[in-house]
Amino acid sequence: MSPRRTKGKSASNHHAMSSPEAMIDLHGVVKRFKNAAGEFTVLKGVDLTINRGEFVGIVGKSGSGKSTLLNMITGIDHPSDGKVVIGGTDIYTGVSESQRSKWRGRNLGIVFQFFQLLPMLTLLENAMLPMDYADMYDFDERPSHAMEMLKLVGLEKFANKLPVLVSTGQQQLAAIARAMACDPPLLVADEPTGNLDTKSANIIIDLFEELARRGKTVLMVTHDPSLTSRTSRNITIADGLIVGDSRRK
Amino acid sequence: MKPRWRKVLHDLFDNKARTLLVVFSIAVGVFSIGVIAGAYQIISQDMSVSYAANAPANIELRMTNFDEDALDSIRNQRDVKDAEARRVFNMRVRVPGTEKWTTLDVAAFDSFEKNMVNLLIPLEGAPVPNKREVLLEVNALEDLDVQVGDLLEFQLPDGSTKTLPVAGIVRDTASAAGDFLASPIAYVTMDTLPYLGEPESFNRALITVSGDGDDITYVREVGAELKDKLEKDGRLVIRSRFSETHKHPLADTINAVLGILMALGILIVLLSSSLIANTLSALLNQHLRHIGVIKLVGGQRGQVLRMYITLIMAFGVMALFIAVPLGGQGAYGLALFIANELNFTLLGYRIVPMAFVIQILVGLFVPLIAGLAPVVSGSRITVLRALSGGLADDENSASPEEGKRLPWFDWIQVKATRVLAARGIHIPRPFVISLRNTFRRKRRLALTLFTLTMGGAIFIAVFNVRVTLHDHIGQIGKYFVADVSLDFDEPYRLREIEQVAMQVDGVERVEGWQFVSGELLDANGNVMENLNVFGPPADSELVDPIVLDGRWIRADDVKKLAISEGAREYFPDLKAGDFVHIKLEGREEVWEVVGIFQFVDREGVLAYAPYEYVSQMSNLANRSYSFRLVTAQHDRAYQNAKAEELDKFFRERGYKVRVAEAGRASLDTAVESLDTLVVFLLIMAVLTAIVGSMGLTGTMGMNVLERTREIGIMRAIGADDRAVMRTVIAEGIVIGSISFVLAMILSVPFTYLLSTIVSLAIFQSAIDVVFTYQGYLIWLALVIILSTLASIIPARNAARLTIREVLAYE
Amino acid sequence: MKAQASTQHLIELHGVVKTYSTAAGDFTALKNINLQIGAGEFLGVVGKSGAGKSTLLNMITGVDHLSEGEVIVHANGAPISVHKNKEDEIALWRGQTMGVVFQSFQLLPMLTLVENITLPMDLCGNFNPKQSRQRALELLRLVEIEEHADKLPAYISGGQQQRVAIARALANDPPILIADEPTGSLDSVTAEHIFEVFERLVSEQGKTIVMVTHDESLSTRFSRTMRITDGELETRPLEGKPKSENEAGSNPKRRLSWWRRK
Repeated sequence: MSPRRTKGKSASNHHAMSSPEAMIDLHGVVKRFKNAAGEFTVLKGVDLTINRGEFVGIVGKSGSGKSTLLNMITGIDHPSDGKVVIGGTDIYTGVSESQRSKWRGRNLGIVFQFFQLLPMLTLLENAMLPMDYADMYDFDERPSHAMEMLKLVGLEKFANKLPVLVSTGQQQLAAIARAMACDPPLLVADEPTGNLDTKSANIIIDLFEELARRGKTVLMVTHDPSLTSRTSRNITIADGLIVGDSRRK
Repeated sequence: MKPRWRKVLHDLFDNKARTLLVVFSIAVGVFSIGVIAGAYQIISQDMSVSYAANAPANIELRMTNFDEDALDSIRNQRDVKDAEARRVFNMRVRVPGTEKWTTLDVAAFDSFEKNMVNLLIPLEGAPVPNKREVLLEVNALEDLDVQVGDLLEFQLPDGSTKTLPVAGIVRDTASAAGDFLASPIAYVTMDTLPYLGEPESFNRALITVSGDGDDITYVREVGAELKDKLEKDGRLVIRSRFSETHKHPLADTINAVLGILMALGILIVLLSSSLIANTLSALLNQHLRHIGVIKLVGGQRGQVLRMYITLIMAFGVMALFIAVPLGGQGAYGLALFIANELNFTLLGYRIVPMAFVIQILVGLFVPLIAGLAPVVSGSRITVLRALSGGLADDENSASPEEGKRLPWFDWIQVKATRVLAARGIHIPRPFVISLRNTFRRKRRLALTLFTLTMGGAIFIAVFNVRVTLHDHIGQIGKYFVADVSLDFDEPYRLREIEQVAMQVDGVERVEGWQFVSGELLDANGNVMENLNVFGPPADSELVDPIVLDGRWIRADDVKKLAISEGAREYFPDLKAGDFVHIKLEGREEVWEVVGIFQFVDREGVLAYAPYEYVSQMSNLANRSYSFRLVTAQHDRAYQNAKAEELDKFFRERGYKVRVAEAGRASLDTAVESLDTLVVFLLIMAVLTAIVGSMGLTGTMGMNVLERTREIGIMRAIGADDRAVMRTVIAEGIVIGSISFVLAMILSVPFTYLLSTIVSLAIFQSAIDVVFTYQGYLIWLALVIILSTLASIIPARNAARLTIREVLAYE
Repeated sequence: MKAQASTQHLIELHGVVKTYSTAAGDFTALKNINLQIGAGEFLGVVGKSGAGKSTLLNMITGVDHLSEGEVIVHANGAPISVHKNKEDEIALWRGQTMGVVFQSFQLLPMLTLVENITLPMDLCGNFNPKQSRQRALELLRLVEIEEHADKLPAYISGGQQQRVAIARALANDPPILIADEPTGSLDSVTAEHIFEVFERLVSEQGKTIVMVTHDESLSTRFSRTMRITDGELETRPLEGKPKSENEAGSNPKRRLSWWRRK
């Protein structure tokens, strides 16, 4: 398989909870978009393996294909060619969009740059929603479990507030709490600090580090150079190809 | 074309579903207003013209037999323009070979060629019958399946039958006008009478006046003079009827009914305008970015405003192209339907300029007014807000410069959920989303609820009105409880008839009634109205009166009567204990009113006096012409069977039976004609319901479109197709349910309003309102089905979106 | 209405402050900005997202209100204080004085390229319809896309759409171009082409351009570059490249991504 896999394995060895297995396995992933102006290839055959417990940053300029790569991993978009295996499951072969949504609910948490929370639900309700969709935990346990998640991100005081009443940084933290609600092994974040001030951004990154320490795999797309010093591994994308894979720790 | 007008043109056809929705909502309003305004115009013109065209009698006198000499003396009377004499009597008729008998009024003419009053319009076949031929009034064809040239079998009082061929079909717009329940008419010449066993003398005079036939006072004066003269000559006038030349007897009723339809039409316009307002405000919302760009590159508010007003006008014009021709056709169709029901002819298809103008005004100004608020506020948007993306925000969410306060309603919703949760009632979050989404666009919700609630309330109310009318007819039925009425041409002893009748299987009881017809007079002896006095035994169980004032009749009453509330039309202050002047069998008398009962009169005022007195007065003690029978079963089929059996049974034994009729027959006819009206109301109710559900579909579509991104988030955190669809459909059903509750409440005043207007139009008096669960149940089922259907397409579209599309959605 | 005369500068910002109130309290996006931009300058403003770059542009274009201070533009003769005029007047003035280019192109999707460009002329009424089309075609030639003139925006690529957006910004021949991350959503090759168009507009047409970007690799290619951080302009401008060396910027090899420079 990919030569990077062995590196990943050794990197995850410090973490007590981590498993030697691959969390994410991409084989020759190609993504082409067609529009009226013609066809263009955004991902030109990406091979990538990420192990459990890694905290990976994906960096690249806008238009480099990093968001598209993320969409391949989250099952939001489907590849034109290649195979994506997440936690041992091939998420594209013979799986409908609807089934993928269901799978996503249990197996990964997603954090976006914008539009994270549903505005009509309180932070607590937002955190409970994935459990309702995935039918995780006993119905009556869900509030207390969601509360634990909010405590984890330090928002227990704001549990019953609607998103408009808290700052964008707090909204982003609540979105992370929601992403962790079903206790997924994988957390994917697309520019999670993109529109946050430096202080809020730091809190978020601290939280990601903590989650990685607890054995979660965290994958974060960013174009902010100051964040890449905190990740355990950085993958650089340019014009649809992986052009760099460094490890700083 | 300038680019900004190119944009307007494009916006017109860009989203076809939305354009259809807007155009259709405008068109529905324009159409219904056009139909009703047009029909109103056509009917009010044609009804009187077509009625007057056939020289309707101003004075109709029913008299004992009279001859040509009497007719001549009527003709020579001052102020009489034309006079005709006829012999009118009823006979039972059937198509040979069939079983079903139909009662016809047979009218015999002296000379068809000299027909001057109540003109007959030939429709088919011969305009004039020869001896032993018959012409049929076109309404008779509803009961008799015959064509010109076919034979009809007439039953004579002695039970024998005579056969006459149908020589032609005519329309008589004057003779039966004003009476929904009159028998259809057949016409023969006087020399056919002996063949039918009738004497060759007249019993009815039809008179037109030479002066102003539309002055009812003058007509009455002429009539009174004429009667005086006839009575001096020793002739007895049994009944008289006065009417105006240009006023169809049902004009008031029809105008009132059209008035109700017009009110509903205006309501539909109102509802469709709220739909337009909703759609346009959603359209403006989606166009904010465009407006931002236009303003950014130099566009000013006025320019933006003009572009969108032009767009609205274009929607209006498109709607007019659909609705104006359809409305014109619909108006004529409705007028034609009413004209056929009421037996008058229209002057021909035409465009009613008035309705045309109203339609254009409604089609252009209603959308303009409805769309003005969103267009004005849309044109005011700042470039920053327009381009900064916060477009899917709710109306009440703050823009960046304003402080963010939580709207009280959101606070209540959150609080309510918490209070419930504290009591252990947890609402699943996906349903919480549906609930709170419902209330996010409050203005849109209000308009949607308004249309759907109005549609529902009217729908429910129409059902209540229907039951109310039926109940009222049922109330009337309490005065005619008998299963079969049996009338004879000569009086028979009560005991005798009872004995014979009891031999017929199923007959349980027989009562002999008296009937005297007379006139109600004012204190000076002028005729006010015909009076029909029934004389049932005072202890009869076949009358179940609703006494409004005083008491019911007693066996020892002498010159006392109970009179229907219809008398109050002539004596508004009439109460029990008052005295009334009446004329019975040619004698003027003063009787005491012992009670006033509720009844809907037609063809004169109804009164009851005990058989015990009336039979003495008529020298018919222990005898009667008229009998009421109670049978073992009371359904119409059984009554019909028994009526026929009794008829045959008595005839075979030599009794001169005039008619044996099932008790419910006349009631059912009344119900049928009322149901025609109810059908009209129901059509309008269904239209409002359609507008309402269109509103809901539009709202759900707009909601889903605006929440595409949120649906993307839901999918991203694990919602599958079914979960997304459930959320959307649940919202539709929540809206439907709220509107149902509101409609339930609103249907109560609507029921009262509609019932009152309808009953005033038809019965000239208010009636007791009755409610039925039917309308509520049907509407509940409908609203749930409609709101599910209205949400399914938007929900499916929502579920079909892939997350990538959703999150890229801008 | 009119501010005091000043000859040497085209755009002047005096003590501009912009404060937003949010649930979490007041947030100051711009803190006392003083800036003079001369005619013919190609000013680059770099900074991270959230630093206040776009807010600064909104102050200059007048699409957002300022909390304190004044913005004066000396264009087409009389100086105008942007925030002391009615919105409608500013809309018309802006249409004739400034062309604005966004990261997301903002073309009207239902209009062809030519129509998108004639729209500002239609709205401001400076040209009659025949002249408008002529001028639009000239502008499309200028941005090298005239062969697509009658296509709808959806049928051309993102880079081509941005060229149209630039042509539209030039429709009423404004002296000033304002560009908000114009290359932000384009791939590197296309972005380079677009940037070259801007460079040509300064050198050949004498336009004044204010561009914000988070791409620091571009900072050496402006005639002057300012950095904005947390709502403040750094007092010392970044090293700008003299105008005369503009042509060097067209060499794509000089563009280095930030992570390579590290």
